[in-house]
Amino acid sequence: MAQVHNWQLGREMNYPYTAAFPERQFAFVFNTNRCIACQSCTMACKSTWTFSKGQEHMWWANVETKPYGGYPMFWDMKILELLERANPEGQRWSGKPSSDPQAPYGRFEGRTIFEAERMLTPDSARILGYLPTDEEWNSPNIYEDNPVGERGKPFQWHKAGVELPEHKTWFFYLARICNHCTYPACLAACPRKAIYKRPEDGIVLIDQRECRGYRKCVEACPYKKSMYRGNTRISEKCVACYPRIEGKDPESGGRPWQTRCMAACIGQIRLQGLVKVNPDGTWAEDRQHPLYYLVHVAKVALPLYPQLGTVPNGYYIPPRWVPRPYLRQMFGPGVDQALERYEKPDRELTAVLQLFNRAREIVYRYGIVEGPKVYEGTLRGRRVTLYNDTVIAYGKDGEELFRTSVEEPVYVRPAKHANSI
Amino acid sequence: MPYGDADPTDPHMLIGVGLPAEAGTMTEMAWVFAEEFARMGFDTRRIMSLFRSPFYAGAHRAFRALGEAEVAAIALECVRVWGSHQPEEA
Ligand code: SF4
Ligand code: SF4
Repeated sequence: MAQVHNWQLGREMNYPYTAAFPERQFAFVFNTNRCIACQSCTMACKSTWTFSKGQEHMWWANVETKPYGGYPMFWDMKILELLERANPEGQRWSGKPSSDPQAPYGRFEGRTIFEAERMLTPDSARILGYLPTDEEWNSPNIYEDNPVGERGKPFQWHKAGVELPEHKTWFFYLARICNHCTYPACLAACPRKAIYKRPEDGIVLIDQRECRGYRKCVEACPYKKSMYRGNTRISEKCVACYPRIEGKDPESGGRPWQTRCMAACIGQIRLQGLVKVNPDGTWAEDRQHPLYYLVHVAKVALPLYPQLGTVPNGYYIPPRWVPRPYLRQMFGPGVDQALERYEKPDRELTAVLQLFNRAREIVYRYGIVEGPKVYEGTLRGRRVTLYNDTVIAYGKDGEELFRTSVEEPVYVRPAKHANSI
Repeated sequence: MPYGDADPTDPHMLIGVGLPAEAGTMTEMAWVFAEEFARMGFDTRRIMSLFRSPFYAGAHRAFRALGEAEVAAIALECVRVWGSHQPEEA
């Protein structure tokens, strides 16, 4: 095992390979406060990549109801339970969130999935994980907030769905894709070295010619985003819509586009980009990059289950109404600070949040032009001052992609074109 | 075990698990949805139709718990702040 630096955990970590970092890294921020589980993202991915025979159970992009659901079923409970057994003293963090880019959330004192040797059986396994059963993959949203249909009546839904039993306490929607991790567990587990991380954008891909379907990646990926296809006997995973990222979509005019799931999002919860990486794997300072700003300056977006150790590149603005202990387990110790800032956004954050999903193109930089004060008053008793600033998004070559304001006009699509894309 | 009955011996089946929840989570959830969608430019009519639809289960759960009047008051307060310069009907 090599030693690599895991900045999300604030310490060195064991990993089967020596560290190697891409020039830029595919990354994204999801704002869970806005997701309504319309599943447009899920279907955009399905209709692009996994609509063929043998891929029926595959949802590279999925949205699950927390805490009740998961795809595959109970994936996070299962891996957290294994991790808990590897950490009898608990999944503990020490220190505090700070401005140190090498340890922004403090230090994780427990073992990651790469450091749980004594839990591993058989001895050949390198990484703590498990293989979900077929049944766990089968029904991505079963028993979540949508009641199931009646038994024995397939392909029918309850006409009076809301009268069925429902969860009576908090819940929220967690949208997920592969995190194109900095230290991918799928890659580390593959005995054939069929998985690689691209040096230009950090996208993690399975070489379909090299894979022999051993499913070690399926077992090792803690997020369960590598999937086995029975009819080809090889594994497949999210490809981050790489032709779009490369600017190869025929309509893009050569401009890098965000993935399909990002561009389709109704709730405008998603922002995806490519961040610059330092030689030590931390994010290079890039003050006007919207993702750098959200993760490292405003610090409102946090990694999903950082304690697993893969340095996932998906970041989440946590849901505001969910009990903090649950959120701290899911997003680490940065939660309180993130929510405090998100609940009372300053002028810059208010403007940057307007960049989410306003265009298909990838935003590389933003600028803000200050506008007039448009509101001063209270919201739930808290003071709010609102400025109608304009935020300008720039593309790869510095060209302006779009500009929008804090109070932006709404355009309603005529009914006859309601479903056009 | 989709489409089967819950198996109480399965250690991963969620049966009667206690969840931490503070009183007022529903109110909190209603405020967040109303505020987020007001920020996105929704007016009160559209915010309320989101809450009324059973297919948006999160928002709808809060709507059913709090009732029309309370949710409408929340939506109005949010639109007053975040939507003050937008026409009520775009
Ligand atoms: S989320 Fe899983 S499949 Fe994706 S890169 Fe990380 S370990 Fe691999
Ligand atoms: S499209 Fe956006 S709002 Fe709809 S389920 Fe996906 S992430 Fe949530």
